Amino acid sequence: MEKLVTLVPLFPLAGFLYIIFFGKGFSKGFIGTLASSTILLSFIVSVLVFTTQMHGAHPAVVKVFDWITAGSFKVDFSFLVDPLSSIYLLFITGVGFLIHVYSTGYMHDDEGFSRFMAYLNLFVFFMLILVLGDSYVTMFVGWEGVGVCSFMLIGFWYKDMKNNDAAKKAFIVNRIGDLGLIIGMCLLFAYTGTLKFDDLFISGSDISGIPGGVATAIGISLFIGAMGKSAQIPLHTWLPDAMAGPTPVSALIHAATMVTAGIYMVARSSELYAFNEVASQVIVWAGILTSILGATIALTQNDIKKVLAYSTVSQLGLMFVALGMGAYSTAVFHVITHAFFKALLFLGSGSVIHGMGGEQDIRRMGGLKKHMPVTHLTFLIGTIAIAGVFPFAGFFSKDQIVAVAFEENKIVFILSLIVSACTAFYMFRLYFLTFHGKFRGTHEQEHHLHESPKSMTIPLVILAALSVVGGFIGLPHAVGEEMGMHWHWLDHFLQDAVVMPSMHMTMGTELLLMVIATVVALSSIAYAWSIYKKRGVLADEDKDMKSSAQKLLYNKYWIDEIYDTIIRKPVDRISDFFGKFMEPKLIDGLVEGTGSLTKATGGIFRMLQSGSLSLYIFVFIIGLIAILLSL
Amino acid sequence: MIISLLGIVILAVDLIKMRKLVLPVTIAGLIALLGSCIMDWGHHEVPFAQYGGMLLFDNYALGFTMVFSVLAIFWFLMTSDQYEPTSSKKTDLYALSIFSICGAVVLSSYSSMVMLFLGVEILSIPLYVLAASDRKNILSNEAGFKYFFLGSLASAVMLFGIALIYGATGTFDLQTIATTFATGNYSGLMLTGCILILTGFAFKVSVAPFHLWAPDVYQGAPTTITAFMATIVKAAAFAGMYRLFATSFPNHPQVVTSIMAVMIALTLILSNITAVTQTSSKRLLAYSSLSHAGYMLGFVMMSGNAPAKYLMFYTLTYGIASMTSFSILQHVSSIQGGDDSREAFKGLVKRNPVMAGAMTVSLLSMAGIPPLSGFLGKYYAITQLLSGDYLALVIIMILTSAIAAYYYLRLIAAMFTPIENAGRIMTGGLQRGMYIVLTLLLLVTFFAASLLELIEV
Repeated sequence: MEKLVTLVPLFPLAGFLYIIFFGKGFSKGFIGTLASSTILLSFIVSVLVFTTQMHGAHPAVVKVFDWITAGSFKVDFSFLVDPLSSIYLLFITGVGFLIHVYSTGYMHDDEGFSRFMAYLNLFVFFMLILVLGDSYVTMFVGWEGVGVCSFMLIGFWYKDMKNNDAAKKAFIVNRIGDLGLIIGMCLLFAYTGTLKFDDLFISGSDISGIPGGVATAIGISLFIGAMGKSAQIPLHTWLPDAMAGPTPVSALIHAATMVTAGIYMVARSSELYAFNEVASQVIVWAGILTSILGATIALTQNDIKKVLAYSTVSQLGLMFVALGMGAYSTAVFHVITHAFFKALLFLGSGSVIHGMGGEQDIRRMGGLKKHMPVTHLTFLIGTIAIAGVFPFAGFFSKDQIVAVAFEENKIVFILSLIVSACTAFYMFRLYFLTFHGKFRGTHEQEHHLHESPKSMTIPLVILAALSVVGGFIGLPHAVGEEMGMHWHWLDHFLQDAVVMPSMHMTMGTELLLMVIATVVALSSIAYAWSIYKKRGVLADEDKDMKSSAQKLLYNKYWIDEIYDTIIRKPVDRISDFFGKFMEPKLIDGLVEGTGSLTKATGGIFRMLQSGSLSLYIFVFIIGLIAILLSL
Repeated sequence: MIISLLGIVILAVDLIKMRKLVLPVTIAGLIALLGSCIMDWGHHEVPFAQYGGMLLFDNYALGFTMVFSVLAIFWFLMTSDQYEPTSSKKTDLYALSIFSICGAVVLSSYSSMVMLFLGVEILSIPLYVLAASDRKNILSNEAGFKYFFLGSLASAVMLFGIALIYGATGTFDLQTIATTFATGNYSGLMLTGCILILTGFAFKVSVAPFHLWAPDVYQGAPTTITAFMATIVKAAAFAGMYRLFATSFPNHPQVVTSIMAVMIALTLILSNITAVTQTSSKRLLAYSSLSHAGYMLGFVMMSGNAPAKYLMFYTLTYGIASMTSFSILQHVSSIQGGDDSREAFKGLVKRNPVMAGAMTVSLLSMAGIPPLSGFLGKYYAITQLLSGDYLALVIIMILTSAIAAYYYLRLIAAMFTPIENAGRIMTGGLQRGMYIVLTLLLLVTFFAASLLELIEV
């Protein structure tokens, strides 16, 4: 059964190759159907694979081919099928399929339609390689592959220079992270001699020999890689800019799948982090700071996708908090529910943008409720889910993270509650400003307003349903017992793949925390309602911003500007120095000097060759005498 | 074996009566020689001897004889358009070169010092005449005279060396000398003899500081003869030198090795650096030929353990590349009224693409760029020296080959520089075919050698 897993990435790859090489003459309908059906096939196989894992099949390594054999260094291109990878397969192909279907509607009028579908297929292929790889090396192939696809898709509308800049920024910032990942991999190899997850973690003996300091260095290096991919401070700046890409891309790559690769990688390395206090603390603090930063910036943004982007940054931060505190399965739980509701929200925003004819500023929207009923309803469900209202998906996963924080570190616990409050507030602010009140756009836009086609609304409905029930895979003990359902199902499922924390929380505490979380979320929602619905307050125009706190948040803490000053400008100056002085004066001087010296010497030697026979005989004899003297 | 050798000689001399048949008969004779070498290859468990054991045709001798005959076939074919088919000069030249090749065969197969000396002389004496064969050209006469004068000096030195060794051991036989030498109990007389022979050879193969004759003679002699000297003759001299040092002085004392090392370093530095400032392309190729001698001497220096097949490979592939480039040079400069500066090569790619292509490949091969066989040759030389821990020498080799790449590439760049109103240069079909075949050979030998890791000798 496990052998089938090879097919999972093969379908999207075939789709990509077919569309790129032979897709020219076909209609958009055919291309769209083809691209989506490859993912559907992958999804079906993934379900099969997942079912065997659910029924207790042992983790298996499926070798695809010999890849690198260099001396003692040997890497097979193999896939690891275990609970962690199979559940990732499931939601990558599942959510991926829905977004493919959605894209056929959203991108229908774009001239680059088939190129877009091909890139999406390629992305899914690399994402599957990333989670299936049985070693860090194979994972790295997928890791870089999704980076390239992300680059190509952010800059998909390449005629606009702004999009290209965003694509380059994403790529460059990710490279910094990748360097960390590579260093981590090298260290790991140097101390254990292997990069296979099997040898390192499952049999478990290989990492125990690493000295403590080195283990910390490995942990932090790998985490730097995760920082880049999953947009954590200080490498988070690329993600909001990445919204320059088409909205399905933001949903698939920059919300549901690729950005959670960092969480996957840390969860996969859970045995490395579980006993490493320092590295884990670094993750917790980077996570919670990112989370606070993202949530507060989102409070003031007026671009519908930017709000969601900062929200993603903030939610990713929460996932890292869970990872750092040892609750690896909880982080994966949040990854999954987040994939549902954040994909839903992005696709919903895409539907809105589609209806508004490309407008993204919520100050130009309002009152869309009556024009776009399906989009409105599904978006509301997504908003409730992310805000963390019982019993929607986001509630359970976020509540678990908050509960872990309560156990481990009270400061982080308080901070995570603040994040929850902010989340509920900015999401409902976004919701009210977009769907309620009077329409604030131009007359033409109002005339143009329409509900999106079926291919876009059906994925919205399915994702909305998942956002409602998705949380049931990880019901807390208290609720599960009450409802007679399987509680902590996900934790049980994942226990062979990741390290499990030892939780010893009483049911009372559990209930109390759930109540606190609900109260926080509801009061935030009520506050947002009173401002934006009841009093009808609108978001300030740029020039009207008065308070410095508001400006600070609106300008995203000026982090981009700070990077500009402390990194870009000095680097520019150094490049200038090398370009204008070092290279032409010093290096060229040296290089050309060598040449002229050679020529000059040649001129001297040439004089020896005068053509005079007596000189030649003289040299001959002198040479002979010199040799004989040397005896 | 010997019969075919004699056959060629007699034929070449006899053919004065039927001049038009000279070329086909010569080629046929050489092919017969090549064929008999292939037939004999590996057949004799005990190498079979000729002339009372003074010549010994083992695989080494057969291998080098094959190299000579292959190069000679190419040389005759390529230069066939240089002479009027019925001129008496042509038959003279053919006969002389065949004699010279006889000397080469002797040099690759001798087992006695007497035959060594005879071989050197048979090789050289026709050359003195050949170098001066352009009778109306003062430079050619000068070249012949210089070569003769200095060559006699070298022969004298070598003969003196042979005499000293005979004095020390009482024999001319290489094996017997080897056994005396191997005891480690040899006199200074013997060592001096060894070094005098080395000096004589150093002159013949033109390594510094005994190389001064070479640029002048190479430039003065007619280009076809220069090609002959730079390839077949050089290969023969190295074959003789290697045979002597590998058989009689396999573990030559440190001082001999050091002298060779100094010679290599001097040769590489002097030839490559001087080549940079040359304006005449013919002279440039002469210096390039000198620098290759530096590499080949590396194999002799390591003859204690470096297999002869590497030297064989080097002489063959270098010979092909060098012969091609000399031949093209001859064509181009004769069209340009004797001008052989870089200017003459400008726009060659348009004027005759086949020539330009063949020249480029040959020069790149000599510069040692993969995937051409010249690269492998240099690679073997360097690995052999590395195995003997001569790191400094290897560094000099690599640095000077960078300089060499500069002057080769400059010539190539000239060929690809466009010029106005360039007329096409015509070549005979045979020549064009030869260029293509030789160019391909440079590629094929690379892959074949890489695949087979070279035949065992």
